[in-house]
Amino acid sequence: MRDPAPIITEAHGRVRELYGSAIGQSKYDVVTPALVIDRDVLIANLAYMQSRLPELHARLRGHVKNHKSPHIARLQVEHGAFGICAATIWEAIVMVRAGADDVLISNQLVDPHKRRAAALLAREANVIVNVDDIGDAEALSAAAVKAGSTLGILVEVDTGMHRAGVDSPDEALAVARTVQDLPGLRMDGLSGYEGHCSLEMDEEQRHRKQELAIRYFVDVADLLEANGIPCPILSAAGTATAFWTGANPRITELQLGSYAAMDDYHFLMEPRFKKATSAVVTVISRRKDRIVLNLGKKTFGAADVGNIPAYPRIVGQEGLKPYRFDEEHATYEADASCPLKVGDVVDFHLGYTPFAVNYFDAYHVVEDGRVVDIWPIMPRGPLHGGLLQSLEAGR
Amino acid sequence: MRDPMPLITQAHDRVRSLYGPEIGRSRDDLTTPALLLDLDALRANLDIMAAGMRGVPTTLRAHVKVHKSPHIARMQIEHGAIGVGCATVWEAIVMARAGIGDVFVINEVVGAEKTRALALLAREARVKTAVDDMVQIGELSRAAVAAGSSIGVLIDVDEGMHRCGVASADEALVLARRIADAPGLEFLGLTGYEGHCSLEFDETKRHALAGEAMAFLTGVSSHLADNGYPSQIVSAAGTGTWEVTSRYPGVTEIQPGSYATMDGHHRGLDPRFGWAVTVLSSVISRRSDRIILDAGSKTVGASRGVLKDWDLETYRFDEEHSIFLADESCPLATGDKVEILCNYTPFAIGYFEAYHVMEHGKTADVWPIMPRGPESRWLLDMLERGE
Repeated sequence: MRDPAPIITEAHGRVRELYGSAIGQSKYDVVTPALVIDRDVLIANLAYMQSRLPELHARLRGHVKNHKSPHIARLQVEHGAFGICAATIWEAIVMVRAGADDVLISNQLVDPHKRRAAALLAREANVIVNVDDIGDAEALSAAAVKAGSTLGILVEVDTGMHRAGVDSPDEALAVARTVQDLPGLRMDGLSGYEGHCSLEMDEEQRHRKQELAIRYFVDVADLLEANGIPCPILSAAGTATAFWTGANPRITELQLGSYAAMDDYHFLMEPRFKKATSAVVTVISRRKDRIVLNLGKKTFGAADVGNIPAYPRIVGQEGLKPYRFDEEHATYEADASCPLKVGDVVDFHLGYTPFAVNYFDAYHVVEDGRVVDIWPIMPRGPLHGGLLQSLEAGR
Repeated sequence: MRDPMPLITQAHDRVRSLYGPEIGRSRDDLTTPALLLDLDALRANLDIMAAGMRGVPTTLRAHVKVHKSPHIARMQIEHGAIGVGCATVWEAIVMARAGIGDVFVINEVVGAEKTRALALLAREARVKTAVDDMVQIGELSRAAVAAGSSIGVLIDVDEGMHRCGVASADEALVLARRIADAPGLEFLGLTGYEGHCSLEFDETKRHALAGEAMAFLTGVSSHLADNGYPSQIVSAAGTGTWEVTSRYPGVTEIQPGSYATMDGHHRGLDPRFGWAVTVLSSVISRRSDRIILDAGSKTVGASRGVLKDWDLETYRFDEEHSIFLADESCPLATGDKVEILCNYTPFAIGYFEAYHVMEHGKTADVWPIMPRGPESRWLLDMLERGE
């Protein structure tokens, strides 16, 4: 793997400057709320995934949208991932700058500035993009030709999630034929994340849905290949379906991400991966029947993912019932038997971590309860942060 | 109002250097998602509030946690606000540096670094905060003494929201005595946010609830006054109750914030204020029965939203996408831009680093969102260095 480029090392330097005074301290002494990643648990998750790869047919492409960390992405590659998967072009740019040389943006770009950015990025790494629309494919082709690069294309197939993706095998064939004929594009295969399975908590039901989805996905690939369009890449799976989808001999790569940093939501479905991400928070008010913490929905986001019991909880006090989650506060019912008092700093599991990750600018990296480093979260938030300008300038 | 300090002007310059190429562009030429601020709508909201507060015996303290914008905070002061309310000490530092001389952290500040930051800030601005526990009073007093400053303290009263705050007048009196005796602290009065009223959409019921809450709050105030601890400040209200609470005898100031930028939740409570903030998004996929947008719950936040100008039913909000049902009669196509009206805007604002400020259909400027995210220890380090 290449060394990280200056935009990564400078971002690392910046957050170390901002929060580095915590290095060497106990995690309970940092300013709260702080986002914590337990490095040993993270490494154990990565190592477990790596240990399972030999028995799987598919290769691992580590998704980064849930952690947004160049450091974790590099660790994923060091632990068996051959490439990176991203949700946005801005994540893809950051991860290529972090040293990745193969990146799939498993999403539609559409915006002309985003297409331009992908075409520029393809000059220096293998860049693959999802497409479900002929007009979008034509515009990507024009962008690649203008930049003098080649973009890999996966036709996105809706395998049951009902988000983006072509609706029928015939539509997949039509889009694939167009892609094959367009200059600057390379028809690489199909993408078909079976995300609807990750909303199914019952394992048997989930497996049944996964089988249906992947069978349909492979049927679409068969149709394309029968019509002379090879599909060297068939990309699918998330953390909740990885071992089933990865065992299918036709699937060539897996695009899971939550397995690394994990959260309560994914732990309900795949407890072999442990919760590496948490927060430290402070009790700021103690009433006789409740306690109030100094973080709320502005920090941990939507706490009601699919009405599944993966709401944020205090570690060691998991039995406390949420009274209400406000913008800046989380209030739990707690009678006199609960020993927590004003000023106590506690570990907190965030429910569904990508929301919290999106809100912080850094992880406090912890080993044995002590802060050992600060890692930047990049890119942060929904805006482009000047990344297109830095690509144009060759930075 | 003092001029903004370098912390603010540099942040403005930074977002202008990142997003400056978009200044002058029309809405449809912006890279999405983008957070749009309609300057005319913002000004109209500030005017409505200024007009509503004319001749009223209370003053307006504008809460900034909703918008986190030094620029909007300054406009609120220019439209009659006596100071700002903040949810965190980090917001207070930013707003003091934006030139605002009266900042009130309407929350319990717990933890040595945060009380230290508040005490240092109190050297350069009139700083106030809320308490509901002896522990907080001790910490604040020690920090103020160490910094050689004075912190104004208000007792947080639970008027029915059941979050922080003391639940009885006697409990308040015990704290008032302790504050009055604590070196470095000045007892200023009471603060109570009747936030439970903002969950009641029936106006008659809401006003009745707010009346009960104010009767309790002013009753606590009378009890303290009778015992020798008169309140200079009795602060309360949000956008859902600003009008009734601002006219309630015994209340001295109101602390609303959402009225400036607004959202679906608060429009349901007070539709006189208009939408000033929306999230611009692109259609990135067009299926026969639905459209998929490039802004999901990671962008608009926990409370989601609806589309401006398009009456489409929500199918699902995913992390990176929102999906709306749209049959062939809907002309939206891949690449089209739509605006999402957030049900609760502060979540979206929390994710972005800048507003695209729109005037006459074009981007007129880019304004920074500060402080961003929950953790801003570096602002304390800046104060320590005397910068």
